[in-house]
Amino acid sequence: MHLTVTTHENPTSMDEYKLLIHFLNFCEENGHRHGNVHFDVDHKLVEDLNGRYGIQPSIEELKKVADRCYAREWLEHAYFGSGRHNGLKLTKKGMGVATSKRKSEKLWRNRSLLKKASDYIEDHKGLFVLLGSATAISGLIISILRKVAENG
Amino acid sequence: MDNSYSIEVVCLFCDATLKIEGGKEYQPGDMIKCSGCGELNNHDSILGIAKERGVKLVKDDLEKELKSKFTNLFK
Repeated sequence: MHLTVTTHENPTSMDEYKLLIHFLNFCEENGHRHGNVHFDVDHKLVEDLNGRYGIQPSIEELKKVADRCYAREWLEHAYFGSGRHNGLKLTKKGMGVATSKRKSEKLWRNRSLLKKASDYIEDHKGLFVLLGSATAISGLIISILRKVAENG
Repeated sequence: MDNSYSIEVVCLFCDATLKIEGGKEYQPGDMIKCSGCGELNNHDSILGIAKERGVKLVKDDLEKELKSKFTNLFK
């Protein structure tokens, strides 16, 4: 079973949350405890991410994402001597981040129509201000032209 | 040993202390918004991590106390 999860920031790019949620989903789908599952940043991981999200990040990009997760204590090494990007596993904090993000994404997708409209306006408020200004300016121009026509 | 401990509940995303607004009570399954970064934190996850930190704190304290007691015993 594959659960497709997208972040509302940018569904086509790779980020830390997608990686963590992939690890968490993998553990849940296969009935493994997060502490017993290790991941390597390799072509297999790229294929798995492509299967889940339909994105194909490069190994270098994935390494950078894994480094950021490691720095934030969301990932740790399962054993020593595996190299910086091999033998990685979710920490309890990483699992919490993945669970929280997955849930908030689900809430975001299932929000009410009114909330969706409100979010759309909030996200595009610049555009609405521009449209409002354009309408006001055109109204002003029309009224000036009308006055000129009346006087002329 | 009769110590009391207090554990701050921190945001999973930015490590800021999570503040509860207006005495609001949270239930398992709720999401708590961080006032620092705005991310939603899963109630159960942050409590699990806080519990783990609490246990470690008590363990370290107990270990320290036992060490000092044994050192004094053989003096």
